[in-house]
Amino acid sequence: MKRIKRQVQEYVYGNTLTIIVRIAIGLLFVYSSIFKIIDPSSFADSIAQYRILSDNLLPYAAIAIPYIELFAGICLLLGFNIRPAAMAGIILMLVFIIAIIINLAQARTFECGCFELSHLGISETIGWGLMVRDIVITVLLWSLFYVDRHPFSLQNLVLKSDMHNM
Amino acid sequence: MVTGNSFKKTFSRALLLMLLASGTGFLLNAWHPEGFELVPREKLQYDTIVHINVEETRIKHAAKAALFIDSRSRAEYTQEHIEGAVNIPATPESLSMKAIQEHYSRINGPVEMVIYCSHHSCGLAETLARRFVTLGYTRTIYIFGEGIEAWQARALPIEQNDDFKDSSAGSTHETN
Repeated sequence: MKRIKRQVQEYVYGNTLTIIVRIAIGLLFVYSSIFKIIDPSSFADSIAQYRILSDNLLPYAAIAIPYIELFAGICLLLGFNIRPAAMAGIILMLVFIIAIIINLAQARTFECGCFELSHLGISETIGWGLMVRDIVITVLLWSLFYVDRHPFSLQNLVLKSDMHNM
Repeated sequence: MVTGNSFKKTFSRALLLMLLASGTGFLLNAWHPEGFELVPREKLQYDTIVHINVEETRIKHAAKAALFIDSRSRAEYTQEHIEGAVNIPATPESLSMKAIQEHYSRINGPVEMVIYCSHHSCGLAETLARRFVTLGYTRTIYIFGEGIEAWQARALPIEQNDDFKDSSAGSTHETN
């Protein structure tokens, strides 16, 4: 119990795990956004499958979502604006989770087109497993809120040089 | 730690980030020469389907400027069809897809497609044309809606199979 508490404290203070979580999610976001930015019409097809957005809104979502992913991903990856970026990520993830729940409730399954992992040969058919994965990512993003210091980030670099100049 | 005030601040910055991101997206998309068109999908999908009359169809046929596709059933096609036409039945879907695969190279050939059917069932051509669009065909698809009857009425070239009509009416049902 004590060890877990200590681990959490170290995570909040900022250790290797903090860096790994931040950079992994950042990479995931950037990676998935690139395919969607290159081919917005096929991304529009995937979000059309969810049958949530009306046809008029679809193309706008198909343009906006990938860029939000890209920007949030870059912020997380390089380590600036981490909290707002994590928040934007959480908002996106919540939208995805709700969309998945709505479709699972109607017993519909299809390729989710979320992280384009099918390019790596990983199946992304929507189901409970996928939802759990999205929830895990959301929780990890949420955990970044409580971190006081992000080692190996631009934010930290600026902070350090500020301290140095004082 | 996250206090109420800093939560608000973070939230507004997150919104700003999202706004900035989508703004960049729309700008880049508008600027990009092969940008994604921001129009409703229905409109985007089917505006490549053009209806033409018998005269336009005749010109295309005479100039060999189009691949003629008979969207009726195989039996109807075998009885009579516009000279040089290939048969891709619009329904059922399985047969239709099979025929599309069969004629794939010709569909993607140098000429555009004219789809026709018979006058009294010409939803078929529309169904087939929409299937092509859904499958990703981006060139213009022509529909000759007046159908094979109008073609016959003007005594334009037709390929007929009278033997088939007489002797193997029974086998028609078997093949279907």
